[in-house]
Amino acid sequence: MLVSQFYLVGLEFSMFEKNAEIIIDIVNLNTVFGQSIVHENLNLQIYKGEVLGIVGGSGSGKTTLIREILMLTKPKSGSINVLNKDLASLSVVEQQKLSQNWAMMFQDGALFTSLTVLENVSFPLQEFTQLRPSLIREIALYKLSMVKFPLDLADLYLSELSGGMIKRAALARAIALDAQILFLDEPTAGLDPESAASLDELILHLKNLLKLTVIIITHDIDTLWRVTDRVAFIGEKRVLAIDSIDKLCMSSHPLLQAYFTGPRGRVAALQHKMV
Amino acid sequence: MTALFTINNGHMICQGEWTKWQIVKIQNQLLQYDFNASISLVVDGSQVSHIDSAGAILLLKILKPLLDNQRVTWRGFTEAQQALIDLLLTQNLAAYQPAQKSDSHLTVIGKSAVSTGQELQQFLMYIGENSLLFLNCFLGRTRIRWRMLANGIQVTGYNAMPIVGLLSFLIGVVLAYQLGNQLTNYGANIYVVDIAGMAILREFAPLITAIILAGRTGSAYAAQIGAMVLNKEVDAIRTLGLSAQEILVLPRIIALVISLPLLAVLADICGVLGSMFMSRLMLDVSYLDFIKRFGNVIELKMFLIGMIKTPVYALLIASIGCFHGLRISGGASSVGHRTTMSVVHGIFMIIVADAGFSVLFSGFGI
Repeated sequence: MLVSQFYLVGLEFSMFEKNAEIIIDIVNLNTVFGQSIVHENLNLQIYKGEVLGIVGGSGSGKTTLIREILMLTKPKSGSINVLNKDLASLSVVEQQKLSQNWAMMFQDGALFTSLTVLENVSFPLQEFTQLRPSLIREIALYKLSMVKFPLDLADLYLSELSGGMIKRAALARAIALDAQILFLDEPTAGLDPESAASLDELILHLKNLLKLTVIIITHDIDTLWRVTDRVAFIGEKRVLAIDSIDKLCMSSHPLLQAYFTGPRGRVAALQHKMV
Repeated sequence: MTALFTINNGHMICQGEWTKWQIVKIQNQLLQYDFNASISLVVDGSQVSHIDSAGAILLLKILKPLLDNQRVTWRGFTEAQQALIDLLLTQNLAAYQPAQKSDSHLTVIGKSAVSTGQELQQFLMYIGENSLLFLNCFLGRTRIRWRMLANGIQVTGYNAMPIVGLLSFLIGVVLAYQLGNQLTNYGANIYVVDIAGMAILREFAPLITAIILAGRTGSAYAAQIGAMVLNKEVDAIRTLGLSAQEILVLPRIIALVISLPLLAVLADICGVLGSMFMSRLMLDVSYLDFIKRFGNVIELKMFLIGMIKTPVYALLIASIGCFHGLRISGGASSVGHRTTMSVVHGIFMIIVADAGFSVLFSGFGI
């Protein structure tokens, strides 16, 4: 306990602390599934315009945390504020309105299997805007082109696509509405290194252009180095440490050490420091 | 503030918020605007407070003829806005070819005939494979999964007892009521036992049981196996060098072949009880009279004729359900489609088989 309090102090040094506006504020979050406690008094502030990586061992509750922010799972106690709105106190209409501000790219895509890729990307636009069908189709095509999805495959169904293509289509759907908060669950998992690198670039590019706040769950240490401003490490049922990646790598906490200074972590760190 | 624009002297001045919410009002006007591709245009964005990708794409779409000839100059946009426009300008949408027009009616008919034929062929292959697997059981080459079999009998048989019992009781009630209406006219109340007993044992109990199980079990088989196909569990079984049909299909078919006849016996009992109850209520035939007459006039043959059909129904329901399950591909809509098909084909085949039995029995004079 003493040790972990020491690491929370590390928050003070965050580069965004002084001037940035808090877009998501999580206070004393507790999550329990049956007998197992997932989160215990978890606190996390996410600033507008940053790219936050969320890391942690498998089963540490990263995806659950995101699902709670997105109102897909209800926490046991604690408060989550998104854009200064307390999720627990919102009416159904307010919830729908709030959810237009974010978009999520699910780990396995979660694209609609009964629609083609183009229809998948057009879907949020058709639901929420009153734009002409021809314009919606054009917007969807641009989004697919931006994520480097081969457009000649745009009329295919999900079952006819490879894993990497599904990732791209899912990202295109997530950015269809230019939502200001973008959640990405393992965006680069299952991609070849070149595609993963270009996806990293794309995320950075989009974030700069569209002023997005991006929250990435990832195990890809290259992505953490390349894209994120800060990284939150979830362990021992709460945010164990949150800071820029190079500082986290130097942490002496055993869990962080184990995570970042394994053989893969060292290689990634070396490469990025040389660059 | 809504998006506005004015076009004058080779200048297009954009104002307001060019976002997906605010361009709704001007989109029709802009999409119909006829730009002369030979003139040059300066697009001035100095009064644009906000532009998102939808707004920028609308601009690019309408200016496409000019952009192709490089006759557009962008001016006055902020750095970020211009970066967004530049990013979009670098995209090339030419690779997209809209899907071809749908087929003519004749092509559709032809295609569906071919696919039906192929499906029939697949079904025959599947039946053959199942038969072979089953025969191999006796030679010890196929292992029967006893645990799965017991579980299957519990789910398809034991758990279905309340619904089958209740529905056949109600069918018995309805049958006695309809018959009673006619029989009282002739004062032949007691004959309700002959007619209802025969109809229930020979026809209704097996048929009702089979139809309930086609809806209850056939669809469940299709959906279970289909979800496993989509989740690649079936591929995993095959990769392990095992036969998906041996593990998934055979125990399910055997389970239903055991439980459906047993349920039909329950349906016999409940159906007769139902008509007994209604006879007492409406026709003044006491329970004792009913049972006495039932013992005298209903032969064992009637019960056996009904029972002989049930394993056939079970085979049809289970094999059709599992077949459609294994053929699921793609996604959620395919699960729905195949599950529906399994029930429709199941009930269809049950009734065809029943008609076949009637012809057969009349041929033998039974």
